Amino acid sequence: MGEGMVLVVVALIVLRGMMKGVDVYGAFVQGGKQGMDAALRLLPALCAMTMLLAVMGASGLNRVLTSLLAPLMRLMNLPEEVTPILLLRPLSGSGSMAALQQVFAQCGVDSRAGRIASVLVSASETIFYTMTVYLGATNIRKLPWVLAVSLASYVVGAAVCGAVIH
Amino acid sequence: MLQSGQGAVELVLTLAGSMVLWSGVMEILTRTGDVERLGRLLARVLAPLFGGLKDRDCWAAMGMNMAANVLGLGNAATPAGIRAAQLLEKQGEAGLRALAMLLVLNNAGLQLLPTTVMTLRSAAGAANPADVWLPGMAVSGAATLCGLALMGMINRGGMKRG
Repeated sequence: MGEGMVLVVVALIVLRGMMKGVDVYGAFVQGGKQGMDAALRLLPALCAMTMLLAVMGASGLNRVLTSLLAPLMRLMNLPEEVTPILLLRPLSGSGSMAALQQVFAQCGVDSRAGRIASVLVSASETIFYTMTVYLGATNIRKLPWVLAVSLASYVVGAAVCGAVIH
Repeated sequence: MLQSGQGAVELVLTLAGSMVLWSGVMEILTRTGDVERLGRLLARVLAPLFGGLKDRDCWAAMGMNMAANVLGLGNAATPAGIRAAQLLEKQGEAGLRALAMLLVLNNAGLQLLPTTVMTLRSAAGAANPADVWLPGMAVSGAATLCGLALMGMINRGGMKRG
């Protein structure tokens, strides 16, 4: 797995494109431009979120939130260091990425906290943002239960994370 | 404080390479028509979960949105999701129920190849950046099932909507 998995997937897709007569190189370059744009568009938010996390750490807000949520985290068998990620993930993609970097720096990427943080970020969605964007395009002001069900599922996922990662 | 800007730029540079690679490769898969095909397949398989929704345009947009999400194509998922929401809005009660289900599925965050986190792990020097793949599938799979079950029960109960 790892590098090998990505290599196999990429090779298969390129082969598939060639079989179907797609201009593989042209498609790659055009799609790649979109990826580059998306990465650049990420920068201001990422900058703001990195700053926010620094302020949260320095002001002690981090410690307050962590100790408030400590019983819940213990119940789910999750390390305290991932509390900021658990809170930020449903709100902001760039925020959780910045928080993930922080956990890597503090605990190490291969520590239990580092692996749990990785899974929490990769296996979830910016719930509040998605709802705002999709419903914002309609006249529907409220769709009952969606937020509650989504957040409940998120917490169930987090509990599974605490259970499967040793 | 000033270092946060530098950290953010480094993070973007770390991610840019993999985002270019993934978007580029996925554009190939989009042009072969396979993303759309996966969307149609998902729409057919998941149809029972969405009640009695029949409208073809709705299903096309919903299928595209789900396929793009599962493949990690943010650029394609959002416009398809917005189109689905706008079309479903016109379908009355069944449409709102389907939209609720679609949002819950989106929010569970199931993604087959989480390239962003794998890239960040690789840049941070992880021994095996992909070792979080299987637990990740378990976590988002559990969240998906939980969301499907809960929203399915609520939809079946015929909630009154304001």
